[in-house]
Amino acid sequence: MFFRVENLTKKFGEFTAVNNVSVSFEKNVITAIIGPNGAGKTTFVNLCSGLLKPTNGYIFFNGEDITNYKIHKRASLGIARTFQIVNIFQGLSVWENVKIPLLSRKNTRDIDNTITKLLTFFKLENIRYTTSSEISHGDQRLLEMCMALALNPQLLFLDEPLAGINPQDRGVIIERIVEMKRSGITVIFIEHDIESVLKMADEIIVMHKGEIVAKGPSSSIKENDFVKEIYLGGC
Amino acid sequence: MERLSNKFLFFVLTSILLLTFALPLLSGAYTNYIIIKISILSLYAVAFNIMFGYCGLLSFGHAIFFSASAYTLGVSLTKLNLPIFVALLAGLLTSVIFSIIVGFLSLRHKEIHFAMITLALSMLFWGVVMKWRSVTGGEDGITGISRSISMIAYYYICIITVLSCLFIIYKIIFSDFGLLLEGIRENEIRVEFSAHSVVKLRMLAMIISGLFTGIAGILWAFLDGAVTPTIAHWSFSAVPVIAALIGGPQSFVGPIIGTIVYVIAEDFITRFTLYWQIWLGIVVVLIVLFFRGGIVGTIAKVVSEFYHSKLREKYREREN
Repeated sequence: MFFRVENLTKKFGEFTAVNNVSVSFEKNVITAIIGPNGAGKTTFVNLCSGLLKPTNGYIFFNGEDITNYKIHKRASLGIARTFQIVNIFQGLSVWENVKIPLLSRKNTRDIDNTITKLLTFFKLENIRYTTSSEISHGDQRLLEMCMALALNPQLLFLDEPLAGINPQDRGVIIERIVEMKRSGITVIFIEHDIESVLKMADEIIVMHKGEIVAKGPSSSIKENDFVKEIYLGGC
Repeated sequence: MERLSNKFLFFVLTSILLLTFALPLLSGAYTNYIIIKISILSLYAVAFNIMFGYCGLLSFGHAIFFSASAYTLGVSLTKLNLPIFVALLAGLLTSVIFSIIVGFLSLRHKEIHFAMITLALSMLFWGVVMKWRSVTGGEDGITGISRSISMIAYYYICIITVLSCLFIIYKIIFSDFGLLLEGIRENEIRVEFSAHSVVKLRMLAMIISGLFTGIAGILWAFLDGAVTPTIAHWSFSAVPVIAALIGGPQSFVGPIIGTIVYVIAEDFITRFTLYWQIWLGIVVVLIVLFFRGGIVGTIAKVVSEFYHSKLREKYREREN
């Protein structure tokens, strides 16, 4: 299996944020993680990306145990992520933001062309020299995805990529996520907007109180009674 | 506008450079001494600022690297009678070794914890310098370090060495490595998620910073022909901190401007009172409270605001 976690648990004192989760993800599939606030979705992604250390359990990537790997080592293996609150280099230009992850690649000879290609893909080429704190929130979200993509990742975690984005920009972001899948990237994302989830996701995982309560193709999850009750409000 | 300001900057820098090289022919020994002191301390401040201004880490331990190289040079020349090139190499190697040790102990921490660890190590180092009399000479230090050349020749060697070092640091700061350091200052976690080890990058920055601080220490030892424990005391680590704050830590020239102000202010105020630190303290407090970007940062802000207001006026005229 491409990416898998076994008995993953994270406790903060007495509180268990992620409780004995075992799940696997196949290559080149877009998976959405949904669930009410406090379900443990972001903690799960933080554990997978290395931001948090698990209390118990294991994480495997391409068959390799990466549980104790540091963030930069996971990133160099091809695991990238974005954050719920945009996490970029606010004081640097858009160009420099994309250059930093690209500098981790072994071959940096054609770096300027690669940056231009990436910025064009995300329609950011016109603001390349603008300081990133001065661009719109939607562009900042796109920039963060662009930075993640600059790592040439195999697996990409997106934490609420549509949060705070206006309807026009949402379309662009959804389009880019689907295109990423087409180029061979496995995407796992957290999202609250169920309409957008159904547009993008091949598979859906439902989390509740730190546990996975349902997993399956989008069509079947939509009809799941438990999911309707706890997440879709019984509709 | 940009082309004009570049031309102006080029003109100013060339004038300063020519004046600096012509100065020994025009002025007395004391002025030459002050210029050498400014140049050495400028190198010290710029080297320190690699950690402070670019990595965002406030080190109170740079006196260790400065004095380690100076003391090693002193011991090598006066006690071991080693050839000068061997002594120079030994001095530089010592500052690199100490920067690795200090980096290893401190770089996993940041903010106040990093500052406190470097401060504690600095005090520890000073304690060793004071107590290890057989090697360091204790309170008396090491005297009789001969540079075997005239003061004017040393002036030129010093200026050329410092300018070469500043040029190399400038190249490093404005390289890809410098961009990564700025990235660390801006957002450490994002640098990690960009597949770079923050600890390794900081360690490399610390070694570079320590090496150039060591060069400044060697130049200092030759200037006075002696090494005293004053340069190993933690308060000597505060010199580049103050210089960077006065000049502006987020620019390359800021610490140089700050050092010029610091040395001239010290020299000027001590003519009237021995308590020159009180006045300097007041200046630093005022700068930190009201001019966060230091002299360079404040000037840049004023120029930028003026330039933008002119642009706005231009657009308004066009619209009308």
